[in-house]
Amino acid sequence: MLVEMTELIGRQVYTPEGRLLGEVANVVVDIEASKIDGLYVSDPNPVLVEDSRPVNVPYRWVSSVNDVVLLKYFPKRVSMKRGARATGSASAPEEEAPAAR
Amino acid sequence: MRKFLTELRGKTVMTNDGQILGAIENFVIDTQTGGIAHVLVTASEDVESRLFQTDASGRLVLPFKSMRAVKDVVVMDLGK
Repeated sequence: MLVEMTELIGRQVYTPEGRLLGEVANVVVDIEASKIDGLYVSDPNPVLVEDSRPVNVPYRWVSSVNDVVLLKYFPKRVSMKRGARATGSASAPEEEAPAAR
Repeated sequence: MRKFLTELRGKTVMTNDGQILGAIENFVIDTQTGGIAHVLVTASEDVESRLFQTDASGRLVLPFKSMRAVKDVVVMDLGK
């Protein structure tokens, strides 16, 4: 389905288990690949993401986009690696949920 | 190179021979693949929009793949 990219902003993102991850705050664009790199969720559900740190959900994890965004995969829990907390900055688009699949 | 959508919107679009076309308004995407098909540009006043493909609301429809440099402005290689 062809849509305008700004229509994604504000849509709720759900995991395959039906958990609400959060709302799309921004879209990360990969210019060379002419593709969406990921959906940036700035205030994710703390049950899924430690400290509600912003995550860039890779677009390959997206299953479908209609009234909401449904993911086909999301890690059980996203947490910062030990020791990374001190240096880890919330400067997405660099930040990405680990365990790519 | 990765950019936020909000960074790209409003950027000035130029052809590679230096003509200003307008400002980026939006992008047309395929939600299945995440591929970006077109850039939608609000034409600046002195642009002959008849020479370009436009959508229902008069925005220029340009192929995303013709985007070249994306710095302070966006340069499009329309190969005319």
